Amino acid sequence: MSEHPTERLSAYIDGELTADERTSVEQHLETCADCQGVLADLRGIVVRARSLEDRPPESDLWTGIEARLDERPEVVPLETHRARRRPSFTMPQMAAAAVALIVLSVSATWWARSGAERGTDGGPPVAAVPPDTATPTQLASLDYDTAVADFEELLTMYSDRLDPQTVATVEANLMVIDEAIDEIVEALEADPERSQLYDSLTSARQRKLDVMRQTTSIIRTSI
Amino acid sequence: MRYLTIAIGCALIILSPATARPQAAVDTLLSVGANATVEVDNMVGDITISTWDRSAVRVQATGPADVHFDREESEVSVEAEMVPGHGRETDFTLTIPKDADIHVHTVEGRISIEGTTGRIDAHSVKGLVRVNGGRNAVEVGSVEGGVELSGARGRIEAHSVNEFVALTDVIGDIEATTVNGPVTLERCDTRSLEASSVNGAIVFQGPIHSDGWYSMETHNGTIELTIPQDASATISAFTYNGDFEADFPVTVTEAEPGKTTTFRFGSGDARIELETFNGSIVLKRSNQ
Repeated sequence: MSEHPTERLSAYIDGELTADERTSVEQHLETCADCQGVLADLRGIVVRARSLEDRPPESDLWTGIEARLDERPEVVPLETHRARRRPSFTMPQMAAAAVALIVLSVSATWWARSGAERGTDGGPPVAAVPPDTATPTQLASLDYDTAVADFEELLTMYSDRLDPQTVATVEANLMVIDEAIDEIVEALEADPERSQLYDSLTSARQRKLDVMRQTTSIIRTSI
Repeated sequence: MRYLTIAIGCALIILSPATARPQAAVDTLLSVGANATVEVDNMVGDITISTWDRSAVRVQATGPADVHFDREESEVSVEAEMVPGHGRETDFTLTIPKDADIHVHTVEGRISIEGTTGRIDAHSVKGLVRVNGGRNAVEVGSVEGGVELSGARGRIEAHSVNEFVALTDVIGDIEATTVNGPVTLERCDTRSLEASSVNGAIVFQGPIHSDGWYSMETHNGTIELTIPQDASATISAFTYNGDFEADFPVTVTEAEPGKTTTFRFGSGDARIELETFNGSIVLKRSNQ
């Protein structure tokens, strides 16, 4: 078997190889289970990173929406618009909040998981992280809640140009996600050792951010 | 006196403000060069697009809106401007070059695209989006409506919020999500799948590639995965309040309370992650 083309697999996924290089890699992959496994893992990383890659357009979206609102004072008077806006509402902060959420959630999950391991292998005791003051749910909440509140505020601003039924539908669906989040949190509090629930919580919260991003995108391009 | 009454009556009819704007009928043919891009923006009304082998775009519209055209080299844009007080719904029917790229947006209306081999970006706020075809990059979505996509190839993104997402005979990297509805993927050939719902089932049927990564996730719904006979995959499955079901014997390689259960097929190459909070995970064996 030829040498493993491990270093070229990332470029292979990105379509950056020449035709000859691509053929060479594909021929190797046909017979090498190890490289197929590495390639599958790489694809997983690419998919998981997709939400992070999407953040810059999200920033642009919100900037554009703000600009539109400013352009139409008859819809929302500027003074009213400014009054409605919270001092903390800027899109870079929104994007940062989303990224921070992911980083904090992942970190907290890692910390929660590795904490148990440290407690058994001589590392710092688990009690070094007071569970009542630094649970993943609490760590993730501050920036996340700000992001959610900002979206809901934006939805309110758009309410006079959107069908009330659409606004109600979006809000109802966000509530559906909230209920799912509450259910996971409840399960986590009842059974904190069930480590998969940390991933579920992170995923559900990310889902809510994704829905807000997608909805904003559709509304922006359609109105 | 009789004639005077008639004359006054006619004058009143002629001078009275129109109570309804006549339904405008637009039928325009615009020639375009190679690699055309067609953009359609509508507020209320359906958009139907089909293809032909001509280097031209035919635009037909019926409804009260003013229809504006803009053409620059190979780019054609069509926009409906609503006229206040004269009805709302204007429907578009377009025939475009088969390989044209498409950007279609409407607020209240259905979108239907048939047979294109170009890139597609089609979104409605509250209407069904149905697309057959599309290559390279296909993005379809609706907030209140369902999404049906078939025959697309490339990087696929299909999103709804309050309805179903259904993909059939699609090839490529797939991201398919909704909140309140099922996500079904039938005969989908992908090496990268991300499918999720919150209130709805996830159903996947298609080849499992050894170098593939497949993620299916819902909160309130069943996950149904059909495994081909020759699949080589490691499945990580988690359900909090549901069960595992399989219509064939499976060997659990890892199963610890509170953790993910792992199944392995063949040499376990592909990675498959299944997660549902309140639903069951159902594994089926296909005959292929």
